[in-house]
Amino acid sequence: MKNRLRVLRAELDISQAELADRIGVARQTIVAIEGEKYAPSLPLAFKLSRVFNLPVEQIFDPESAE
Amino acid sequence: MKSQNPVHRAHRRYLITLIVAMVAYIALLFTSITLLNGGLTGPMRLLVALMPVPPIIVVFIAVLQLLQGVDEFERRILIESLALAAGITAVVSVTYGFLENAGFPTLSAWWTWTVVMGSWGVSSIILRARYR
Repeated sequence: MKNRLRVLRAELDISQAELADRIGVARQTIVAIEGEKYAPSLPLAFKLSRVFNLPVEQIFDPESAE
Repeated sequence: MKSQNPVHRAHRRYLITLIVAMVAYIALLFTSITLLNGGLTGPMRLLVALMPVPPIIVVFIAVLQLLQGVDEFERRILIESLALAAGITAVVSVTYGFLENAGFPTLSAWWTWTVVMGSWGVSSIILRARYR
């Protein structure tokens, strides 16, 4: 699923590992989401939404959802 | 300082359990083999032969706990790799079973364990690479 995670993370100046720790997942999970290889569940998307203080649809592109 | 990340904690717990279980397994295996070679007979022989089994059960429980402790993406990879390993083992063991009907030598049940662990390892590597 297309997303702006990499850009938003760069704006906050946090590493993949820091973001992973903040939402309680493995760094590999962040890598997979950023690489658009894995679409997170709703609870995980909301955790990311809280970190970036943005609604989910501004992080993930709903048009790209299968 | 210990990580507060629950996924890291789950991995550390699994690794520690795995190491302790494997050390116990090796110790019990050598003890079992030594006692069996000593000519033990009767029901005790059966019990002694099964001595290395409890650490294997501990590893099985540790894998289940790991499944509960990791995040959703890691759980997906773990489940997919275990499913692949189960499927590969089923196909390989049934295929070889039919070959035994055609005269191939009967293999030890140990080979099933080897195929499960080998295919689980290879599946994990391939799946992780696919999601990278």
